Amino acid sequence: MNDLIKIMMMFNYIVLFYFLSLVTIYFTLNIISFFRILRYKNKIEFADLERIFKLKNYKPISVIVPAYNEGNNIVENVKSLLQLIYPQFQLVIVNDGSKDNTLQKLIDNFSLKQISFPDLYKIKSEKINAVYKSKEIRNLTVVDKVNGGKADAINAGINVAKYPLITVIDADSLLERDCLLKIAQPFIENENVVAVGGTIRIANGCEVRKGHIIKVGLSKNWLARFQVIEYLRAFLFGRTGFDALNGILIISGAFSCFKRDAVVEIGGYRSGSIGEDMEIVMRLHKHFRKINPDTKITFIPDPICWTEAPESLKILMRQRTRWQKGTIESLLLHKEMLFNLNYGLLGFIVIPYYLIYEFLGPVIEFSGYIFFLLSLLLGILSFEFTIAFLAAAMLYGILLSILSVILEELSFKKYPNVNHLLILFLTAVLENFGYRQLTTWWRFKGTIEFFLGQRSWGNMEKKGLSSK
Amino acid sequence: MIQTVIKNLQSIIGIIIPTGEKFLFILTQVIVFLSIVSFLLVIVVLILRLIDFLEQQRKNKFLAKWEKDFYEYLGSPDNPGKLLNGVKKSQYRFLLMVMRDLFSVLDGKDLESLKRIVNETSVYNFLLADLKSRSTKRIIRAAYFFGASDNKNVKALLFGHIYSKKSDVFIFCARALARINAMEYATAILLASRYQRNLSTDILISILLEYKSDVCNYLLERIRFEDDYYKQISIQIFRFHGFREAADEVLKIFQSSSNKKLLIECIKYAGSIECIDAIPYLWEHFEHPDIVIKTASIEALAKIGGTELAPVFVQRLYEESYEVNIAAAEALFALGEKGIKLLQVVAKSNADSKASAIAKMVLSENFIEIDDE
Repeated sequence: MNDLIKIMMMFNYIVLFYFLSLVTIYFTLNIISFFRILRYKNKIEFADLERIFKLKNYKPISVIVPAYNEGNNIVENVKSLLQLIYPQFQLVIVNDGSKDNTLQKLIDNFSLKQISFPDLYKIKSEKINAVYKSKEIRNLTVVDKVNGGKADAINAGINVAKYPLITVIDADSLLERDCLLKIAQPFIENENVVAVGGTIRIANGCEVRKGHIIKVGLSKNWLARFQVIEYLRAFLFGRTGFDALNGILIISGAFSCFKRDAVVEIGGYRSGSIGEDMEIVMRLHKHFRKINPDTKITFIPDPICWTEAPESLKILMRQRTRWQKGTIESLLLHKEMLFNLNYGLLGFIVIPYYLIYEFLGPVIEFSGYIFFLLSLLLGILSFEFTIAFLAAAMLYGILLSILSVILEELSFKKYPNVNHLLILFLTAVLENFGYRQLTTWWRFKGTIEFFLGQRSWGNMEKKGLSSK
Repeated sequence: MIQTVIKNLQSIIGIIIPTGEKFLFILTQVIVFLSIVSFLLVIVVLILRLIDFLEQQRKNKFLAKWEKDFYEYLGSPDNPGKLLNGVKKSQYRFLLMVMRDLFSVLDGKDLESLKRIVNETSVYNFLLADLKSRSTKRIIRAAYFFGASDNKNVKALLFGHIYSKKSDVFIFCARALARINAMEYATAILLASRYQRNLSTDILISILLEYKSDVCNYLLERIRFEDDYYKQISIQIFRFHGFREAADEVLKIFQSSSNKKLLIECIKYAGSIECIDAIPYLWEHFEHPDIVIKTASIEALAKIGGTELAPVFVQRLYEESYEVNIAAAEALFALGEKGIKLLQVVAKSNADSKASAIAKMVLSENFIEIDDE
């Protein structure tokens, strides 16, 4: 009995240190990224990108948009994408075997005509049924293919893409009109850059007109609000912080840009992958950093892409379990990068971080809560430990979330009303009571399901953003 | 023995980390302290938002009045100094923000009026102080405005920054010098760029493209004395400006160089200015084992034109490399009617071959029927 109590106490201490270290790491990343963002903002303020890109030596971009059952919004989305500001770009819509009228709507609205396309693809993908081009809009190409999932659809798009840079976006992403200028800039500045990720923000509650955000707002739905905080803390400040270590492991599938030749060289996206966005980034690091240690995968903090966040528990659960499975899958596929000298700080800091806090994190955290409650019930815990545990698990987490909101306010100041700010502060507090534990449970569930072999993508229905 | 070691270890660690409940107590206190700090920060942020709101109001009020005077001044020969009467230094940053946006949209007389505000008023001294400062942010701002307003008085100061270790400072100051068309610093920019870690060729080209086209003459005078990198950059600048006068010099480099990047630039240049004298050298590279060089040669020859080249392009449709096939098909298409006819013949000849598939692709991409005749 005595030994059991000792083991329980030891585990409680481990979990306490886990919480302390996790939040401390995020704290550090948030602070580092704040200064990086300020530097970036100073630079971009006077960069005059539109003029620079008129100077002839820009890199043309193929924008690849995988679409599955997007019939309701596809026409409006394509029209909005065609308005992007960039000197030369090609829009490649890949209809991934949609069961609805996605393809027909595109054919009817853009007067598409089937063209001949040879079966000489560089990357494997499911069979391409037909390639269409528009006579009126010469930079629009539509690929119709047999359903094979998002990664497969992107691969088909890469085969048709003709420009040296490819940008992959979700069909329902809302992009800032100058997003291509901003995402292409790192490729011009540094020849070693092979991929760039953009910041994703939550569009729920924003006013949307013709596929563009015209007024930033906050959703009335608490789940969406919690995700705003999460996106700020982990995706904006977390990733910008990792970028300082050249340690970007994920660039969101909703908006990313690559050198086409680099992606072709590694064989494209891994078809059937659950976390294709993380997997391809790890593979790019693995392949190119061996050849050129200065290879860079970077991240731009500008809020250039807005996406709809799930507002129902069911859909959010599916998303989070899928993300967790994707993380585990990618880490296991590239486990040899762990503590590998070839990858510098990525191998020694970033991947171990992902292993401990992202892969094992939900298991430690979830069992930590169970053990803590059990120890409380058994009366093992001292008053001091209980208070310290709660302070580390809750108060420290609140503090971090509040810091993220403060840093957002001091850097981008995207939320215009004081009300928004107050709601965000409140959300940062409330997020730690229930929502965080719930996401831990979903990630735990995702881990279990992954090892039980349940590795499907799952259905991600979206409500759609109301457009004026 | 082991117990003694553990005891010793505990006593050593105990000096650094307080054990047990004392540790927990300190930890809780630290977290509570941080929470109080963050609560105070929230209040500070709210106050900052309030200040920002008030400042925004002041800015709107000021700009509403100033912009009215400003639009009356635009295009007129009036003294720009009048516009700054009664404007406080603290309001200059509002002005600069407005001017930054205007610099990218105005042209002609209006743009000249805007430049005069920077060059002939107290804004000049304000920005000069920025340029002399050590703050990256201020130097970038000053370099942008001096470059945009074509201010030749600050060339030496801008030059002083191009050897900075900060790449942003280099990029902005070099760009400003180029916008001012400070020809005498072009070589210095090229040399200083080598001290910048990871600075790409593309960004350097984009800086040099800010110069007016007479930079080509300057680069041409020096090209033979410089190394391959300088030559490669210079030839790109010649190409972007369509500078034909460099053809002889580039052809000499084309004949003598074995540097792949340099060769590709020579080929692209020859194609872009449609240099007939380059045809024999391009022919030589038609059989080059490197696919990139071979493809570039096909593309260049296609631009120079001449329907007598058509059969050679057709041959290239049957090569192994996909890139070469596509370049050849596009070259045929670029030749016009004769090339298109040949593409149609190839497309119909053997429906299963790769050459036929590529010919069909290029034709259909351009909405031309295979059975057109």
